[in-house]
Amino acid sequence: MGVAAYFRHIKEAVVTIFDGMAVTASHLIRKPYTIQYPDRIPARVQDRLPFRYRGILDVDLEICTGCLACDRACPIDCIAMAIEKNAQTREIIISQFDIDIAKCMYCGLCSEPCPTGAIHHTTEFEGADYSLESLIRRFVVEPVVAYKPKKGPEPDPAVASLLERGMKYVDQWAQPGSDKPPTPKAASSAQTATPQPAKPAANPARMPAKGAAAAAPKPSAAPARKGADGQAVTQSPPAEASVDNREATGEAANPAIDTAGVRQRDKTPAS
Amino acid sequence: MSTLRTEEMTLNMGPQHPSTHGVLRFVIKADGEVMREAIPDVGYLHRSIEKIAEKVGYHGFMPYTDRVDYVCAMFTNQGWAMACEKLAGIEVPRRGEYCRVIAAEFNRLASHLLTVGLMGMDIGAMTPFLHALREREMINDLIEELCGARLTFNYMRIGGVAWDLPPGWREKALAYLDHLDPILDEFNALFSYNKICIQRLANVAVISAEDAINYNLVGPNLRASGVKWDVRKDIPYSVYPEFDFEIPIGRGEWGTTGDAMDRYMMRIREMVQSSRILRQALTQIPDGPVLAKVVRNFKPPAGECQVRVESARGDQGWYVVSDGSSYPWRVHVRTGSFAAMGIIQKLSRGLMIADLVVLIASLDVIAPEIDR
Repeated sequence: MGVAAYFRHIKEAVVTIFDGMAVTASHLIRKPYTIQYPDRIPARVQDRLPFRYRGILDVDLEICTGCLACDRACPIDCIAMAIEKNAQTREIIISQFDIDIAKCMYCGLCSEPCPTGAIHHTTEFEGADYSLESLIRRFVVEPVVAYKPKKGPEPDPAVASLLERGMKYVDQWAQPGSDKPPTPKAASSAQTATPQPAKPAANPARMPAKGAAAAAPKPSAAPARKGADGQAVTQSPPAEASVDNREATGEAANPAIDTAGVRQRDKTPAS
Repeated sequence: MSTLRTEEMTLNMGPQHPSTHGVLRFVIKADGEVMREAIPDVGYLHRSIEKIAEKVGYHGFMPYTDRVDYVCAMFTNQGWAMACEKLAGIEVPRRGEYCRVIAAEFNRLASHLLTVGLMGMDIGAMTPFLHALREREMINDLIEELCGARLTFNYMRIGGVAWDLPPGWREKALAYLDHLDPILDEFNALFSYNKICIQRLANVAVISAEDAINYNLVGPNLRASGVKWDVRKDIPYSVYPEFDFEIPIGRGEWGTTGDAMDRYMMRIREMVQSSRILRQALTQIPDGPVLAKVVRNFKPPAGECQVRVESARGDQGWYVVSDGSSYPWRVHVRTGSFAAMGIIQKLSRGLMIADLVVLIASLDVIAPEIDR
């Protein structure tokens, strides 16, 4: 390298450094982009996140239909649900609904098939806690009767507001084959076409799951409204879930449970 | 005076070295400051994602594809979705394809911004990194509004996408692109055309076109060596044939064709092209559904297929074998970072130890993508 090239390099370096410094200096008069978290912000970050934000899962048990769609969709089985069906009153009793937040990967596959938006992601993301045990969110304190979609508007205003929020959440998801989300009204008319519940013949593949659910930590009190011949339909808790059980619940899904939602999804045959 | 005794020194770089992109280890045999060779030791981030696919089924595997390459997860999403669609013969609605292209190109911008920022960081310039991350942050905000997550998107589904564009998002995205184009020029003035940067990157770790092909490099690394090969143009998929864009190739303006500077500039030029594609996609996007009708218990007919997508790290291949059940029989991903690791041993001969960092940064390897 000659002397001329050496000095040319020095000159170019000085010039380009000043080009760069001009960009840096221009930031003196620009608005800063960084925010000081968690204080010195005008509003909580949680309140400014978009509606679709996939934060910690929450369940509105008042509008949960007990259809188990979320349980089946979860790829890592972090949802543990146990439901029992009363054959006489055709009511579904939810006796366990646990979500292991420590396991959850916030993929949103559970809230996608939910017919009422009962299971949904919140904008809450600060989930630090002192023990793993406390990260298991148990939503069922004592067994509750699952929500049944009504024809027409919801009479209970508390449930109606929950349902309104839930359906707003549901409408965010893309509807297969249509560019317009179904209105809750049209969906509730589809509810009238609910087929008869499955006959009580127990599915042998589900038998081991029953035993597993009995061992699961769930409220021991028997559901008050369970009939004498009420058939129990249980889903195994995560630890005991086997491939066989998933096959059984996924393929030979109980039609009565499956169509209990206000919205008919995934009922289209394979193309 | 007798000559001093010298010996070859074996150094370990990584696996926790901050300059290596992820958990990655190099065993370096060095003679003073010059390397005899650097042997990459991969596998620290192996999470057997391909095996997991055999257990979680077709729909359930989609969030796992985010973890294959977490810097540009849209492409792994798209690769998996395309493989499943090819197996089952599902046609994606046109708006769905447009949504995919928009999301993927925004992700390419985000990924390349991280790469060029990290290049500055790796050679000791902190400021460009922060500038690039600021822009990436804005893209993350856009994507967050679109699909609810900033990194592990899980945006695509077999048969389309999970969410349509939110109201007003298109205008926001176009406004962002108007903001980005001058920022790229500003970034060039700040860092790319800086004499120190050029001196540091030019003529370092030169890969000839022949070597690039022989070592199976893909994507920007291959194109920087002067080989014009882009899956988006050469094996068109999705709606890419409808867009007017160019494939930039390395010409060696600052040194030799295929040096680290060419590979760095390749990312800057691709960002300009991505911005062009995005503008066209956002203005041309048709109305209609975004998701085809696909059963929840997805069972493609028995068979096998291979699809290729042009990810930010190059040609990404998805090989899926179905036996007709709800679970894939075998899934294999071929990623650009793994291909790039192969050439490091050859290139490191005679390179300075400090230049190994430049080499890794210019090849844009992402450790989880190497190991999966």
